[in-house]
Amino acid sequence: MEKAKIKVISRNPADYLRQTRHDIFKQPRNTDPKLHPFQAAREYTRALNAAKLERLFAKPFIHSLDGHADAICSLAKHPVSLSCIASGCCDGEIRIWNLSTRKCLSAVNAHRLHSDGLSFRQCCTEYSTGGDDKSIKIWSLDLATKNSLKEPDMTILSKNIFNAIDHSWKSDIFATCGQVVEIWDEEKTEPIRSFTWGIESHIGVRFNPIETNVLACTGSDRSIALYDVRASTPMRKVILEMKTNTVAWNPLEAYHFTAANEDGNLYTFDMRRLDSALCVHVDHVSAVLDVDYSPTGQEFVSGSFDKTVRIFPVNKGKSREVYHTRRMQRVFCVKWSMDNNFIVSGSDETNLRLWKADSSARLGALTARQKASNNYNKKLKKKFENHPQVKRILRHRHVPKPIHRAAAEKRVILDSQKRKEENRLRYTKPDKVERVPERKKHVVGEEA
Amino acid sequence: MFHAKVQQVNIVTSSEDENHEIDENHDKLLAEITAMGNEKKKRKIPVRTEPSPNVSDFGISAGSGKGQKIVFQDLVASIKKSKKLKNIKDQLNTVKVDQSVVEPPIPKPQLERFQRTVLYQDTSKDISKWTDTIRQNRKAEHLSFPLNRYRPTKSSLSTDSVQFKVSTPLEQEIETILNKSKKNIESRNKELTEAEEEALKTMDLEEAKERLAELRKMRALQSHYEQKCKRQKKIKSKKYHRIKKKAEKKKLTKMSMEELMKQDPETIKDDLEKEERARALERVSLRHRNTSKWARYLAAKGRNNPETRKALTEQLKKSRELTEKKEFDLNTAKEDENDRDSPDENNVDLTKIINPNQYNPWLASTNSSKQESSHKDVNTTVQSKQPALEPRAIESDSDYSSVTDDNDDIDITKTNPDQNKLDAKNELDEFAIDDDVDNNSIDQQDAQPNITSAKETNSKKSKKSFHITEEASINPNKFLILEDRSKNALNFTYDGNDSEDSDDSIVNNQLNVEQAFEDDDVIEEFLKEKELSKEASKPKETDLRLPGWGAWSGAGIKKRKKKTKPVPPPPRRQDDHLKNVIINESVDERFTKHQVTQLPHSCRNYRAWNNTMNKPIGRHWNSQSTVEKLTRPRISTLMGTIIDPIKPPKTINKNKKAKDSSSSTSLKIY
Repeated sequence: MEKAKIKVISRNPADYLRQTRHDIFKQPRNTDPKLHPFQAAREYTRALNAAKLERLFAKPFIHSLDGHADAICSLAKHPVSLSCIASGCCDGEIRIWNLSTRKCLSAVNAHRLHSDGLSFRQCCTEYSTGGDDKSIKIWSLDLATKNSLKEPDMTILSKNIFNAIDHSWKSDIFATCGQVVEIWDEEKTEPIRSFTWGIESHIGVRFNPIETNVLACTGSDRSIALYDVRASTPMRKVILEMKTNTVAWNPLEAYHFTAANEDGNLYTFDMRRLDSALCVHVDHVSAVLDVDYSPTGQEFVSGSFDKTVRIFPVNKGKSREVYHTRRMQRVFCVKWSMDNNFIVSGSDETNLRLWKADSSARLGALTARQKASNNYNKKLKKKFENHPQVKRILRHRHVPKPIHRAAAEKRVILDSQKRKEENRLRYTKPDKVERVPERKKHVVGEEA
Repeated sequence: MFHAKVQQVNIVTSSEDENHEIDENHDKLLAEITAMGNEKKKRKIPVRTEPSPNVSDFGISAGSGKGQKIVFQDLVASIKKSKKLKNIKDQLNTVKVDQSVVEPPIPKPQLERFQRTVLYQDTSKDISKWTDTIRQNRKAEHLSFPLNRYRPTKSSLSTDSVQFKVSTPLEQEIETILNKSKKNIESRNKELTEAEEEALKTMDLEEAKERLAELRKMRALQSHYEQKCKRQKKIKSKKYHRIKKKAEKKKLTKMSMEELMKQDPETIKDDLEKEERARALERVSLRHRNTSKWARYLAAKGRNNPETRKALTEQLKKSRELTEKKEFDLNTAKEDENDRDSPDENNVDLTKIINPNQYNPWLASTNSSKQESSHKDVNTTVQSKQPALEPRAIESDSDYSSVTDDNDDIDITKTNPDQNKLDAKNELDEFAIDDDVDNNSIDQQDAQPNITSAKETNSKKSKKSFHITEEASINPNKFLILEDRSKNALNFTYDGNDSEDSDDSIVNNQLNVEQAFEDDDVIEEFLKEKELSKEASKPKETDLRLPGWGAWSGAGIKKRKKKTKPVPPPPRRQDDHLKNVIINESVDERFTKHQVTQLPHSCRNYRAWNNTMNKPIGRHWNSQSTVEKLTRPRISTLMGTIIDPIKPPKTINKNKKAKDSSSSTSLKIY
């Protein structure tokens, strides 16, 4: 006779123990697909909900730091301390802030006029300021005592005003720009190198964080010029349709930089091919004043004259996020924190603002389950991003009315231009005109 | 001297020039004098006295207007022959004058442009070394920042042994002792210990070679064995270990005790000791005597279950095996050994230790009783092994059969339990048969009506179909599916007059349904519905009049003609030629607003898109690990950690270092 076989479910109760008293009871799971029908429909619904929840929790503004008496014109990140940030004011005041306690650590009247340039040295004990009063001052900063000295360690007087200052990422040199681009050694009172290339005014200067000898400088002749610290001559210059305010180098990709332009666009360039931009980032409705890369090199943040801060993915033409508050005026400077989580903006109405880089992210430590849930939701949103409803919810941002109107107007203008060009292309012989891609349209020329 | 000569030449030429000038002046003077007489004043023509190109700064004319140039050689030739000047002349002759002219310098702006171009090209080329890294990072599925995060190396025996530092006095002591010893291998590179090296030095060459080879082989074997053991030790499978243990045991039992004793007395001693210990433990704990919770539970609940009974007996069997007295006479073995070797103390001790019962007065009686019982007992096994069975165990062990070597017992052992088994089986079978019979009877009882009913239904069917065929007054338009209809019609046209079927509830039900829908004409309804849907889908006339226009009333008002747009012919419907189907072609907005109308830019084709959409990522459809893998974000960062810009990959530095180290090692070797 056939003997009956009995299969008994045996489970280790330890696998089903709860971690805490408030935990839910773990249930054994049956993976039989028959028990989990409507896979696609259910995941779609979840994606839709995830998108809605993301918008629901999108509260990016954390805090505003006030104390300055005039517009903030420069910001600098501390290279080692995440919580420390320095801001320079239009009345020449410099303030050091602690972002975690949200307090001002110290305030110094550094310059008589604008303190435009502000940069930390990489060894982080000192920071330098350059101002419109034709002086560079080097200050020492002691974070332990939370006090910086009231008197600068060194003052360098010059014939020229300084519009920007930036420290090299590796050595003790720094670059200033004003009438000329100058390279300074910390130890010396005279510049070790001075570059001129037929311009009377330079606006911004930034060192390449990876190839630390290369730097880019923007000029009032609508140019972006590249320099090498080791060489005695400049390298190359590209001229755009309008003036570029600042550039920011990608910290992950050595030869890519993004330029913040007066025409409201940002242009990402490959240093080796300056005849056309890699990507044109459009969304601002007014001049872009500052740009800074995220330390992961995947995104960058830009501050604009249209009173908004926008976040762009590196390879996307449209912004991912737009930040604005009713009280925030023209944004003169933005910085992305070194841990990739925060954004600091300094604006016209004397306030520093701290934002989250991911608007709906939860601050603080997450449990494993929360992390898993976040990851799943993110993946779902990514999977269903092309579905019209999900797309609509994720894309929608409320912007102030003036910006909304300006954007509509800009759209009309661009559409009209596009239409005109299309017509021109249609009604002329094909070999007489050629289509100029958007990436090349804004580049006037290259100069060797 | 040479200078003087040149001056001389100069003087000569200058005097000639002077003469020429004087002549000119003289002519002028004459001309003036002749002109003085003339009253007519002639216009004065100024004479241009520009220095001619032929005259050099040094007053040397460049030839007499025929394009001749003064060559250096000519000048040298003009030096007068004198002994004093000969030396200088020779020197001058040797001087070769380079005729080619240095290019004028490039204008500064152009030069700078060149410099800039070269610099730019060089820098671009240099910075292109990042291309691969950048491409890799762009393609990477996951990037975790900071990129080159410091991860402490896992400690292992090899690293720890190198890094170990002596701290406590005990360790110090051990260290000193170890250092004194000549038998430890200091470094990995060294093959031999100090002691071995010394030993080798004392031997002659051939012998040393042989010895070295032997040593090497031993080392290799040892390391192989170590590796193997390590690997085997790591195996966690219980099954593997069980099988391994069994195999070892089998190997032992295969060889007879005497043989083993001869081969490897030490291990046998150990084994025996172990067994003795196990026996004692079993006797104390009664672990396999069905005393456990599990056994008691089984005994209570599943006594009648042959499966459980078997399990219990199995346990008892194990207990018996464990408590079994090993009757291996070590004395004989000892005697044998004694014959060969000198008396061994160990052995004597061993017998005492292992088999203390040898001289146990209690044992003698049991031995004798066992011998007696061996004839009675059915289950006696190997002659040498005498199971100490308890009556309870024997009782429970009725159907346990063991293989025996004893020929006499074979029959009994084989027949008895088999008979038992047979009996039991028969009983079971009988019961089963009874059961079956019962079942059958029940089945039959049940089945009887079933069969009959089936028969009836069959007959009904035939009747009904016949019935249908009889009906002639059927609208031919209403026939849609002939075959199906005959079946369906069965239910509909059935009338429950038959007394036989009146108790069948199903049929009753059908009847009720039939009665309920007696008046319904489904086909007619369907056709109507289709007609309606066709109407609805047709394009409608649009009234072009203004709303309200012409809607006035009163006497003598003519009604105006309707102004309408010409109606386009209705588009073809998919179900036009399908009689039994209505296909709804109107689009439902509720669905379309959720649907993707266009293939997204990132997707290559429809199939790829479909694949991604149909592949679930949630935990309801995937295993935990798969979900983790699928939902892992592309960028992950550590909270509160500064992310520095990317640094050049280490491989470059590594290669450099490797080169250096290789050169240094080569130096060491040679």
